[in-house]
Amino acid sequence: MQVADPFVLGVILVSAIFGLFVGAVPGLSATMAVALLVPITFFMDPVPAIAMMVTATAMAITSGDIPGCLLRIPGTPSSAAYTDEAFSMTRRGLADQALGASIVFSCIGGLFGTLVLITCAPVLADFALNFTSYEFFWLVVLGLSCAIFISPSSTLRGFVSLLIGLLLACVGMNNPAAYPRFTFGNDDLLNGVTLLPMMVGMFAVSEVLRYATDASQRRVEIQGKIGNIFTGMGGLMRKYPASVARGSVLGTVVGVLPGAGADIAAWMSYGVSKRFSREPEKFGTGHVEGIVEAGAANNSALAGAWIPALVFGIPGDSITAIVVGVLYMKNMTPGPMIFTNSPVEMYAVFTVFVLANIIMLPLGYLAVKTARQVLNVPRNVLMPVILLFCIVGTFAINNSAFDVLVMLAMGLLAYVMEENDFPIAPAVLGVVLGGMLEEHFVFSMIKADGNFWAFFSRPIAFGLGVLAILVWLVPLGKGLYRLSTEKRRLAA
Amino acid sequence: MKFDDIRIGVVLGVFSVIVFAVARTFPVIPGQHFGASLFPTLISVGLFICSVLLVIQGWRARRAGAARAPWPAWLRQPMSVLRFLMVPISLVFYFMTADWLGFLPCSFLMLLVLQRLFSVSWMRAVIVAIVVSLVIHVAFYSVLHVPLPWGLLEPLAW
Repeated sequence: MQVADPFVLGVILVSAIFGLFVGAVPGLSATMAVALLVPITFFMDPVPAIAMMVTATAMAITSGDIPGCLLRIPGTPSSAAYTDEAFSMTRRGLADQALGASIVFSCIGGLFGTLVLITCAPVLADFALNFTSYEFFWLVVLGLSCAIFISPSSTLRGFVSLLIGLLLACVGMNNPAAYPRFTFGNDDLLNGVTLLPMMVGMFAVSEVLRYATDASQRRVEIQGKIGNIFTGMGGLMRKYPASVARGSVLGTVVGVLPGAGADIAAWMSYGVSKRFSREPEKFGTGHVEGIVEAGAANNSALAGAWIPALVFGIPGDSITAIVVGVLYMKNMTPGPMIFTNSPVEMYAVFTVFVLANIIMLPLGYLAVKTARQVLNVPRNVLMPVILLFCIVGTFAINNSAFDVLVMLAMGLLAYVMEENDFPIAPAVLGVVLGGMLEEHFVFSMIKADGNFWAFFSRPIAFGLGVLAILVWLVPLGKGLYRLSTEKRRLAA
Repeated sequence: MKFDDIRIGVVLGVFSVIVFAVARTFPVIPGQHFGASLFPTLISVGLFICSVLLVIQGWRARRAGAARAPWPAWLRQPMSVLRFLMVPISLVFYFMTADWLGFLPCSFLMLLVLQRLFSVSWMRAVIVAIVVSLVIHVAFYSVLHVPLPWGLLEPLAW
């Protein structure tokens, strides 16, 4: 059992504390936590590297609830869905119940997601062994389409973001024609825009840029005392079993969908909870039901996101996009064969997920007790240190100072995009999957001798292809219908 | 840094045309009808269509009387602008000087300047700059064997 190795257990503990810290400090997100861990995972064996990433993100998503509840400032975007609700509970003196609910039900949701991961991923991989380039092509198309349509911003902006990501993926020599594209004579770009510096730039440097525009820091005082957060949790479980189940299932499904991660899972789940609640009027006044459901959802989404990432190399969210990059770096190519080629590492993933969700309980308790110190960490010292760490970390990946410039360029791009409501997730997916999309398309065309109908020749490929076309036709149809009714109304 | 849709659409449109032009110069895969130019061409066409739609959207919004998105407050304060610009400046500074100046002096300078700009007191800034530079250097150079440049401190190298 490789995970029982004391080094790995030590790594899990340290990264859990790191994750708790990063999640709890507003302005640092779970994706940023993984981006910062990348240079360190580079120097580790696969098992501790995976353990680090899994634990840190599980903790970060959970601890993001703490400042949301106590200060009304979400620590991570996934806690934003129920920050107001939790803060209202704090104002009513129920902070311990809110915190307890978010920690305990995060643990339960996470364990459910892990269970789905453990049972479904190998089965799906077995099924996917039959896939050829035709099936993979349609799968990638579906995955990319998903990212556009599920993103919270307008579909048009999501599409632009995706195209930008795909264009970035075109840079370099890594295309079926092996022709150096968009390198402009620069040798460093021959291998394309390096993935991991790009991620670090998009998720960490852009945050530093955002912080630089508003570096004010107010000392935060936490009102009131926080009692035992675990009292009454059993009662909540008996009172809202449907919420727990629904939140966990919805979260896992949303996590599996590429480009949609913990934050979207939490928002959708909170909305669903309100709609199906027996007391919807209580939502917004400090009612724990929404927190139970959404808290479970955002943690189960984390585990769900690993399913497509491991089986197809299609990341389920931004965190797994970074993980996929790290897996490639460690020579563990995601795909249906990963369970046969790297069974030890896969079992390690499963075990660490279970462990991480269990130690969430004692560590979450610790985090709540030390909340005041953690939340008052001076961000004006922290941010420059993070920037330096990004520079050294990025340099360490390829010993290339050029990567530092790539990181900067991507950080600026991500900042400008987000300021103008262009979502980042489709761009990230486009970069990660662009190469795969082109490769499968070109190989398929070469196999089919230029005959596009071959893409529908096999039954699974046919099904996926039809699904992909429908996914595009339905919103287009709706949009055109709306345009025509608008015109008729204006004319009337 | 919010720009209005029309401006974004125009910039994107021009960009997509440039990409299209560059992509047309890519060669074909021998024996096939297409080559390295296919995907970039498709992408640039898609971007162009999107940019047109963005311009239409922005024009409609302006016609419906939507207020122009105001420049954010931080752009009017010189200190905030300086802080924002210092991030890319320090990264470019590192890229250009790390080799001959060395990692330790470079990172000390960067941390000091950035912290001072973020209103950290002199004492704390200096201590943090020294300690963090050393810790990161030891962690990456001594433990992980990353070749961080010594630069001017070469005679003291370990």
